[in-house]
Amino acid sequence: MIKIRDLGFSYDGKTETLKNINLDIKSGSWVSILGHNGSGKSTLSKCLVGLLEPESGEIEIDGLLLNEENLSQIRKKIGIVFQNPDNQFVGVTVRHDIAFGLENLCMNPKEMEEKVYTYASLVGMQDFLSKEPHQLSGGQKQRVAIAGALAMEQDILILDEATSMLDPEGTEEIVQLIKRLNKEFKKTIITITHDLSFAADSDELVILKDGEIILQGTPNNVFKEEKLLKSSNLELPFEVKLYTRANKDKTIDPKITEALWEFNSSK
Amino acid sequence: MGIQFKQVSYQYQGIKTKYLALDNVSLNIDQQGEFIAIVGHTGSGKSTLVQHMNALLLPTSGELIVFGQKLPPKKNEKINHLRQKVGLVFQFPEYQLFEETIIKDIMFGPKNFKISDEEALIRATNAAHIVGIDDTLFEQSPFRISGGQMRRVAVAGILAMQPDVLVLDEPTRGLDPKGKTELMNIFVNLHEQKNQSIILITHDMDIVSQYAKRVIVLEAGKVVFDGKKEDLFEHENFDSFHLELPTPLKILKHLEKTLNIKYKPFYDFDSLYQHLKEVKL
Repeated sequence: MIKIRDLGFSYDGKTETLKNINLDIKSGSWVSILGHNGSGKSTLSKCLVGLLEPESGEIEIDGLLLNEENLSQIRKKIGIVFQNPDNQFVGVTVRHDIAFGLENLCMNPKEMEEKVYTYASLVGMQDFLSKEPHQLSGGQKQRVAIAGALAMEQDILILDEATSMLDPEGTEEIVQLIKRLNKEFKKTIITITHDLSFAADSDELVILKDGEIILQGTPNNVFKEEKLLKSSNLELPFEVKLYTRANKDKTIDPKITEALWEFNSSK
Repeated sequence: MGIQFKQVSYQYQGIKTKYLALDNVSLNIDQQGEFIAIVGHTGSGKSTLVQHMNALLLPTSGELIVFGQKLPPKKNEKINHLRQKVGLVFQFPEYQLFEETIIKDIMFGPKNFKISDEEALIRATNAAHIVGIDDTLFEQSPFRISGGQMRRVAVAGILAMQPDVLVLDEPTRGLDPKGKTELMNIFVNLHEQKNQSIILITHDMDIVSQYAKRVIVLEAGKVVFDGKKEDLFEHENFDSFHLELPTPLKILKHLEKTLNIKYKPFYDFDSLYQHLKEVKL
């Protein structure tokens, strides 16, 4: 369980990038944090892993207060994957890249090799262990990054726009993987994104605007607030927008509206 | 004028490996009035194709004519000026920003073509206004603005060269929805007001559906379809192109299946919505 209380952050001491954030994230849930470019969503994720130190407020992870003293304990609980697949590939090969975090734990080579294989298999990259980054697609590189994070065996995984640089196939690979990690492996997943159709499958959506939470709830409830979403530069997926508008429009036959609903739920 | 590909092939040559990225491509692109989407899976040759359009890559066989210049060029023939004629915006162009200020960055392109500082400033200012970058931002660092703004500054850098044809490699990828719409509207305006030819690579079939007039489909380096958008989506062998249908057409097919509403294509939100209002069951 993650508890965020009255969190505030500023990069320059003047403009507040995060204002008074209060948020609980249950263990085992999948929460998507959304908002316009510059809304503070990435700042929030960096605060959660202790890469940035909040100016005010508290973060508690599994009853442990995030502070300098607890940082190494916290890092065992929470991992992060960033946006750009090229910027976070640190190994010469897939094998080295997945092992990077484990090497820092001074794990013995045999155990490490086993872990690398286990987690490479989990993301479907076990046949690519000797490949170099330039031989991989963007989606494959992101899967390696996720394997590297998984190898640290933390309960919570943050994906900060981990699909925004990928093509539709690469995105789909990652979405399927996220769902599996959440459902089968009971990982707590926090995705940072501005793509509502990507977030539509998560348990809860949190919408940020100018550093504040303006909306929070299940996708179905959040999607009803088209105006608020728009104020944070977010747009409903085409088919959701069509249904929402048609549902309010008396000139459209209710049978059509019903069929649109069916179309959306079959996706 | 414009651009003509005549049986162009391109082979990437490694130390031990060879890879045929373009295979016998023939097509014709008009200097004005085009709005082309180039689609196809990762590795199908889209980026290789557009890099030929301003002679960044030269055909390994076949002939390419860009604004009357035959490529590959004869010995000692200069082809630099083609880069001004055909403006190419790469994927994630904001990674190429480098100057101290936004306006200097936009001026960099035209200055490379021996244009005076004054003229470059006029062109850069103009280009900045086209993409909606305000004068008050000119002296700021291009690294202290939002991602969407950075993308627009990078596009302005190409527009400042006043290219005849504008080529964009996945211009909207990674932008938030508002940024996406804003950027696409800039291209639509250039196309409608100046009849500028726009060519863009995309994976997003909804963008193809809403904006493109003509679509070129690549598969393993070959052009497997080149024609009007309407003809692509109604093509009897559409499945053989391994492309998704755009959302509005998917919805229309669903309505035909469930409610027996006769399928008639509409390509954007507003026209589809209007259609649904008029449908009688």
